[in-house]
Amino acid sequence: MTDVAARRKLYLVKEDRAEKERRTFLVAFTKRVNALLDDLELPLEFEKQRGQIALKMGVVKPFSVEGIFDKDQLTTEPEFRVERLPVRGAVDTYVSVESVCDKKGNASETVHPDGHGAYPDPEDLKAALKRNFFLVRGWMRKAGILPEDAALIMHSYDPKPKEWLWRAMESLCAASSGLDPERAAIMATMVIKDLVNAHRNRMETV
Amino acid sequence: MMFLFDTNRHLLAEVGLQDGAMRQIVLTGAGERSLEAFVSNWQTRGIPVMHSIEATKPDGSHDIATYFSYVQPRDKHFGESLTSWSKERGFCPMEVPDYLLPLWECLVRLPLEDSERFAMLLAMRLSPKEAFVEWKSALDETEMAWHKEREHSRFILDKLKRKMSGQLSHPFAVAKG
Repeated sequence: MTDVAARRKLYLVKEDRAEKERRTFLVAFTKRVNALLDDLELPLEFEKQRGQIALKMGVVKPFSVEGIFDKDQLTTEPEFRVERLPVRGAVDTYVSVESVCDKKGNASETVHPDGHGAYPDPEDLKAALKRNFFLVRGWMRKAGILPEDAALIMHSYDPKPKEWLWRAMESLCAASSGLDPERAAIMATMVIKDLVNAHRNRMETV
Repeated sequence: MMFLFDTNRHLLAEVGLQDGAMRQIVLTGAGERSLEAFVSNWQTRGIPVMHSIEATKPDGSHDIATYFSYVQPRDKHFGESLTSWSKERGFCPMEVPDYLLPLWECLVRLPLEDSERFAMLLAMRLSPKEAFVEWKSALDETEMAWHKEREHSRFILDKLKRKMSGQLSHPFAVAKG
């Protein structure tokens, strides 16, 4: 074996070892972290995607919401929507409602997830705009999603929460025909800021 | 502490904040390339923050005006201004509580990609504070296992080097000869 061939072999073994080291590490690491997340009962999981580990949102265990509601209300209240948060290509049900009482408060029935789209959907925003975001705030509180974390998760999927802006603009334009798109853009910025401020105010209160 | 990531989850800066004011900023290599000019502007002029106001004209129509104000690094509103500034420009700011910093240091030592560290940090932030000890022991365990694997690699490479010592000349041996 010549000097060059010997060196080449060394490099190849070195590269192969480095790759194996990382592979072995990732398998052990993912397993350990997932076990920890499971113990903590967090709806998160790491999975291997194209040689890297990525965060995947798991299914949140259904929970009961106490109160008196009716089906009509459920179809219009953003609080009771099933949200799908796409994270790095994976789409999973994030929040679902197990059961609620009917309007008379004498029966409990299971409400099935309606497969509502990714947050924030135009109709959610429209509802939020009409009601000064109280519903969206309430929904986030009940679902345990902070606007900032929602923004981060969206950001993880799409570089920036421009989707929010786009949807807010779309809702504004739909709600008010003839609205100047530039003005809608400025108003949409304020709308998104309101969502982020909601989180900030909440943190300050805490 | 606030971390600033770019769209590819590369860490750009670690910004130390105290009561909202900037205490220190550490730029990474990628951060120097993309943020250095901005940071010097913040230090001289302050960080720009966009405001919008809606005014009602006497005729009843509405008008929206936007303007910028500049927040100095020592101002208590610097942190929130930095958050808005980053989001407006597509960067991803992430507030990292102090108790998570030792965990972040562990993550930095591990052979992870930037996007993997980002995802881990996100998961840590979503975990309750009480889970810190469990996270720490999980990271320590995997770090130890990784070191073991590296030792094994070193052993294999040393063995191979010894085996090939006859063929492998010192790079400067030829030049000297």
